[in-house]
Amino acid sequence: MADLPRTVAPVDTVDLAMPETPLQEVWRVFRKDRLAVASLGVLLALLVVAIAGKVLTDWIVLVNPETVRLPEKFKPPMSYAATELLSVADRPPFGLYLLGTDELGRDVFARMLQGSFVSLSIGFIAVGISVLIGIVLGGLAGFYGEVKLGFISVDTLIMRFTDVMLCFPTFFLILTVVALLPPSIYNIMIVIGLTSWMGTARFVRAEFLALREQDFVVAAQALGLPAWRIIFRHMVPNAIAPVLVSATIGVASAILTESALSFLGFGVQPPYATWGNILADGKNFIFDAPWLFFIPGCAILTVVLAFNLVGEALREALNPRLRRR
Amino acid sequence: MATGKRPLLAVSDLRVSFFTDRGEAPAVRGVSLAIPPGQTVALVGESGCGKSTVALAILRLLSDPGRIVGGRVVFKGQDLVSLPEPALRAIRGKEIGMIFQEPMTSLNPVFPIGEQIAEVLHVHLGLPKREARLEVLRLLEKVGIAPAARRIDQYPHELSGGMKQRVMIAMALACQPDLLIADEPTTALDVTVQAQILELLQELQQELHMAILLITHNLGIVAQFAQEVHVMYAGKIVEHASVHPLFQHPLHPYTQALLKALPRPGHRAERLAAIAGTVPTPFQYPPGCAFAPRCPEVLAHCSMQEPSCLEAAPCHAVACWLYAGSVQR
Repeated sequence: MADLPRTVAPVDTVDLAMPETPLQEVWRVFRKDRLAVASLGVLLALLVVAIAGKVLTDWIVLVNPETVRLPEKFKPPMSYAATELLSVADRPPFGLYLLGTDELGRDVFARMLQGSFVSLSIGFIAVGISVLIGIVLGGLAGFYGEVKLGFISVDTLIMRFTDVMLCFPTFFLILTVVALLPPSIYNIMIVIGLTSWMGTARFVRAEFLALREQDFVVAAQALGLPAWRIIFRHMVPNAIAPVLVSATIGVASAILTESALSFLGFGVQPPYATWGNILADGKNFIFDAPWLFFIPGCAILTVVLAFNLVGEALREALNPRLRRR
Repeated sequence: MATGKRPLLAVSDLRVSFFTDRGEAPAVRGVSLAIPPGQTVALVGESGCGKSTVALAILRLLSDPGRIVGGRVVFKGQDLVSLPEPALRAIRGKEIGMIFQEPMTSLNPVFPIGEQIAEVLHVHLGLPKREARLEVLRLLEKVGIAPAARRIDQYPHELSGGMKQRVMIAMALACQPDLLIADEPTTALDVTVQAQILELLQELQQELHMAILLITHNLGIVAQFAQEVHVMYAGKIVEHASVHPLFQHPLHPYTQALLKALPRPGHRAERLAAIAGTVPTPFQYPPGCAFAPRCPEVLAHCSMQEPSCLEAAPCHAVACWLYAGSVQR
């Protein structure tokens, strides 16, 4: 076989169909789930809204969420502003309160716009941090579990630390940390991320423990592949399904945690709006102005539901056994 | 060695133990064997005798709690037991290929097979994507997967067991290794597919001039395929000979019993002879010769002292007290 040339023919003379990239393949399967595609559309639309909200409320102030108009309080959605009472600068866009006003006469539409950026970025970044920590720690515990550091194994060390973290009532831990740190969205994102990785770590560890014994991992070692390649190219893709699902739920719970923090006054500081503090404020006027409660509630519900549907479809698209050609 | 050539792989006095809560279990107790270049050497034994452990230990793939506790594995002048991990990794897959018993689970379920073969080419030979893909197509055709262009992007679950084993062979041989360790390559396949896979291995062996360490419990395969045979029992090699002498004149009572347990054409009415008892567990070997409690020709001192492996006939070594007297040393 030594005489067999490595390059059989000049590469470009051969008709060589390259395979679909993994991304194309996942998309091809994902596309078939209509509900998930719709959810993805909702999430993308929300992303656009969030960015537009950031731009329109912070940089080019077209809608000001902080304008207080006391005579205009508790206007229901779709009501017109009493233009004769307001200065030009205080008028809502087109003189219309699209989503009504709150107890201070602030435009709920503007506040929702502002809040969407905060809520979505908290969801994404907090979950990003927690999934990253979870995969790394869980992966280390699962793959190098038997390695001893002195008298204690890596697995014991990492998993007992995880248990310790799980023992804390997370919410109070977050409260304590947030109370000590200066209140800022970034601190909240990081703190939520740092206190919610334990589930992912446990999932990944459990998957890795099972995968490590699988023949294909031994086979990959027998083929001389380096450990990082085995972990990240062979084991992580096999372990990712439950992580993805828990991550989508994690986004939802991060948004809710932020809401709860805002409600208690430890979250994003007023007058800056988030879906959480709009909801929390609206709760007091549930009978007088139900829209204050329903609008952010529905927004959170929609995001959470969309994330779950997308996560579920992604899990199926990533599993080759469920793909149909 | 039958051939005067230097062996490609020489295992000497290899010892492997599993350290469990119940104590140390010596699964391999001093195995020595040599594989000359281009030849097929078979390692035969019952389930649980330690033959797969030998295969894994050669490439240092034992997972906890298994550990090599002694011996040397010399491959092309390098001792694999003491070689640092990166150097060993360069040998695995490139100079020593390995195929496993279970093709069903030995492929990663989330990647197309072509990608998995290409990965080996990329890691060991640094082939860029397009060239790797061409090479994969060529390899798939070589191992008889047709049409390769359609199969290359399929996932393992879309292939049959025999096909998967062919893919495993393509992966193991992608870098044209000098030695292939085949750990029960056909056990999980049905008989017709078995024959095809063995034929394929034989063809490829001739083409690539590689040596094969064939680990099996199937004596039929051994007779057809190997040049030399090592018979293993309870973590030790009890008999070693070329194929013909071993099948014509088996010396060790264990080998004799194994051969008697094979169905033979023309002897239909006979009941197959079974070996009484079971393989001892590595936790509790009987004293003396491990086969003594099951041996039909057991002598008084068999269970007192272990026989050493001696050459009872030219190029025919056996570890049994029956032949101790006849050996001239």
